[in-house]
Amino acid sequence: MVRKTAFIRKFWLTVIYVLSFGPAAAQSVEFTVNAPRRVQAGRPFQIEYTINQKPDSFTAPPFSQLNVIAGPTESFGQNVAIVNGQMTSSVIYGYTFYVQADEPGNIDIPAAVATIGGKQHLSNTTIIEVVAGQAAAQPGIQGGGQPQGREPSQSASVSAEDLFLRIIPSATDVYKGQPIRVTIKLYSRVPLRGEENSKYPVFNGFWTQEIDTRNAGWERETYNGNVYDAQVLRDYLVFPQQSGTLQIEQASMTLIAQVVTQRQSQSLLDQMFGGGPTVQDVRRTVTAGPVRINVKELPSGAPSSFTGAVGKFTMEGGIAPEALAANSAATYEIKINGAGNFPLIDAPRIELPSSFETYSTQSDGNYSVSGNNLSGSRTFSIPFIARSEGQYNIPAAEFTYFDPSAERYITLHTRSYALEVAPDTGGGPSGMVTGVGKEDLKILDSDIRFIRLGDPGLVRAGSVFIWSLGYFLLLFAIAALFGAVLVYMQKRIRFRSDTSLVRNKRAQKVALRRLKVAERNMLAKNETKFYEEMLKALWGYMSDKLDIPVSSLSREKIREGLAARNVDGGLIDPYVGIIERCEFAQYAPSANTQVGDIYNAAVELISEMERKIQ
Amino acid sequence: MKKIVLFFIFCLSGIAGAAAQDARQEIWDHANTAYANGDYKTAVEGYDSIVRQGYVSSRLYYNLGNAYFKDNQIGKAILNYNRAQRLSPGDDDIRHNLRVANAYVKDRIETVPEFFLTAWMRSLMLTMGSNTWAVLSIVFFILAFAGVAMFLLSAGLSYRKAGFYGAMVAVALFVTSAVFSTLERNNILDPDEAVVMQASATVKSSPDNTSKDLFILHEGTKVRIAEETEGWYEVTVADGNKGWIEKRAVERID
Repeated sequence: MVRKTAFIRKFWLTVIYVLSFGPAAAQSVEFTVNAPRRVQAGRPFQIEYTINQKPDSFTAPPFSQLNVIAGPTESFGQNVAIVNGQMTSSVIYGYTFYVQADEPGNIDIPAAVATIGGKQHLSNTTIIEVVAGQAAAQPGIQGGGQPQGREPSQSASVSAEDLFLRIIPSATDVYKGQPIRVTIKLYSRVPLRGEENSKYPVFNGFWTQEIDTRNAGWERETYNGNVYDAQVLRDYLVFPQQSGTLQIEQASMTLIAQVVTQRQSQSLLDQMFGGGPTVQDVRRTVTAGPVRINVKELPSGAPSSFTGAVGKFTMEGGIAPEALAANSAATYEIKINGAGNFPLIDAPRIELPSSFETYSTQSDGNYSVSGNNLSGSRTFSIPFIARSEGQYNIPAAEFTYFDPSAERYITLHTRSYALEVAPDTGGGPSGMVTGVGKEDLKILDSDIRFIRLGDPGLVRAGSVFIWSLGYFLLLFAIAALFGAVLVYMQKRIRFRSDTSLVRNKRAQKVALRRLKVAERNMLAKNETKFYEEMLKALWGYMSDKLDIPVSSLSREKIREGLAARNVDGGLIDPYVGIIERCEFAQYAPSANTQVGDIYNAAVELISEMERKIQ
Repeated sequence: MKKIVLFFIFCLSGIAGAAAQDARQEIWDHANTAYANGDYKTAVEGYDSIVRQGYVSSRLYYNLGNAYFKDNQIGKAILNYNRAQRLSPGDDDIRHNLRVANAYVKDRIETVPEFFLTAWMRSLMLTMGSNTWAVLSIVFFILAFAGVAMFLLSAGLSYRKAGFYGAMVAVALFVTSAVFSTLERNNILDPDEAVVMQASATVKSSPDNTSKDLFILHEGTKVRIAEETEGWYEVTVADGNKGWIEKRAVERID
């Protein structure tokens, strides 16, 4: 290290000193090591060897337990004093190593060897204590205990007591679900310019709610007997979600502290006017944690309605509105007040009557952090529509929580009461709902149906009725019976099959054929024959149509038969009239009878009849 | 004298028959009680002894299937449900239990879809058993004759028409029901379906143990028998896969 130049006052004192004792003797060799006594593992520090004469060679000791990050860096300092024209000068040669210790423990730094004028000189030795973590590390360069100019170091530093970080849990031994407030706080005695590489812990196994710390400012706080400026950096409310030993990971950040140091300079001018204090940025990494939290499992024997609520609660519930009409919407509301893990509370169990159409439960939380817990209320509302009127029993809602202070489960009930649902005044489902949601038959499990009891209805194996003897016999018997019936009714059948249907269909054809014959006779002026054929046609047609043999046919029967077939009188009378005229003319032919008229009228009447008789 | 002896023998056999019937009824009741008490093995024995006496009914097969099912013999249960269904195809309980039992079968086989008309006809046929169809065919036979008689004997034209067409329809229905009854009869007397009885059975490419394994069927799967040789059946699975399986691995649904 460069020897520090004296202030001007000192300079003059030196001059006086030199004057009074005469010229100074040649300096003896001073070869010393400067190293901190305590360092923190993992943090770089300096080891410096200084010699007050120029060495021919310098051999550093083996830093067996240290990592040499950089060095040796050689430095040279000179001190010149002119007293009464006599100049004395002293020099300092420095060798600086930047090293780092990995493991905690004591490290011996052996002597370095310097050769000056062919003579070997050994430096003094020192022991460095390496400590783990933050603890009591005393970084920074400490003087080697040498008398020469031990003054504030250039590598100004900030001690662990000046700047540190703490993770403060409100409790370390809690029940599962019981909230813990975890505060990460920075303590400082030095002015800070900024921070970098901030790492905040991850809360594995916790449900975490971060509390807003934007308004947190610096506060004066006494810690370990020292007064610090403290600031809350992060504030969390965490709820352990699993039992066992949970760990809140390490928080770390690099802070830039501002340290006031004296500037040193080789310049004479600066020496004359004195180097003013300067502000230097020092980066320092601070860590805190990890913190272990012991989470106890909740005691066994929780009631079935327990869903994980831990804290202290009260519950109230009810239906709004109290009286309702069928098909109108209502809400069952349950409000849970108190302090505890509100976000993790499930809706209390309630069995509304099955004929109520219930919709998904809505929840609304109104709670905030107070102290080391969440307090406020949470409201669960179950909207439903009562589909039909009647008297319903609204059962009590059940809610169980664990009280960590009393260390037991407490079950709360709302009151159960009767709800009167009035008939629907609107006369049907309200417009909001389009229909009753039909519930599927819930298949709980499938199993085979039960066995058949009673008569087994056993038959011989392989006995099948069809094509069996019995079957054939039955068919044969039926056929035989039918045959017998046919034989018995043969006469009637023949008559039916020959006459009625066939003759009915052929009636007009036969009649027209006869009329054709009659027409030929008319043209041949053979009147008797003409009338004969005409009558055959007219009688025959009626016989066919009315299904009565010609022999038993009479004018009266024609009238009756046609009337029975709904032929009107306007057609019956001319038909019978023509028959009469023909019969009359047949036996008393007269010249003035209009043969053609009769023929035409007959043809017309028969075709008319064909349309009328079905 | 001879006649008298014959008459006695006839009477005795009648009495013996009645006694045997009572005995069967007793076994039936015993087996039902055992089933109700959860003693399924005894129930199986009881029902099975009736079957071995040569007497069957859909109820018997149904109960036997139930007992096998409860005794965790899924293959036998399915076999007997199928037998019950053969005798009374429309029965809802049998169909339900068969469906439940089939859920325990390991093989999930995609059924090849049938032509819709075939499927309709089949489902129509399976609404009733062979004997019911046979009785129906007799009824239609009578109706056909009645229609013919009406056509021949009635005076009114509309009656005659009704008789004529009625007879035609009745004849068609007679033929249909007789065909249905016959088809179901063939299923009963000469079944072409079988159920796999072994926990797992290999289907081979030819009726030969050294031939290639085509696929594996598990207990309870229904197969259709296409061909038969010494010790082997050629079977078709519902998804259309075909191969040879050893006779002892399956049991016919008869």
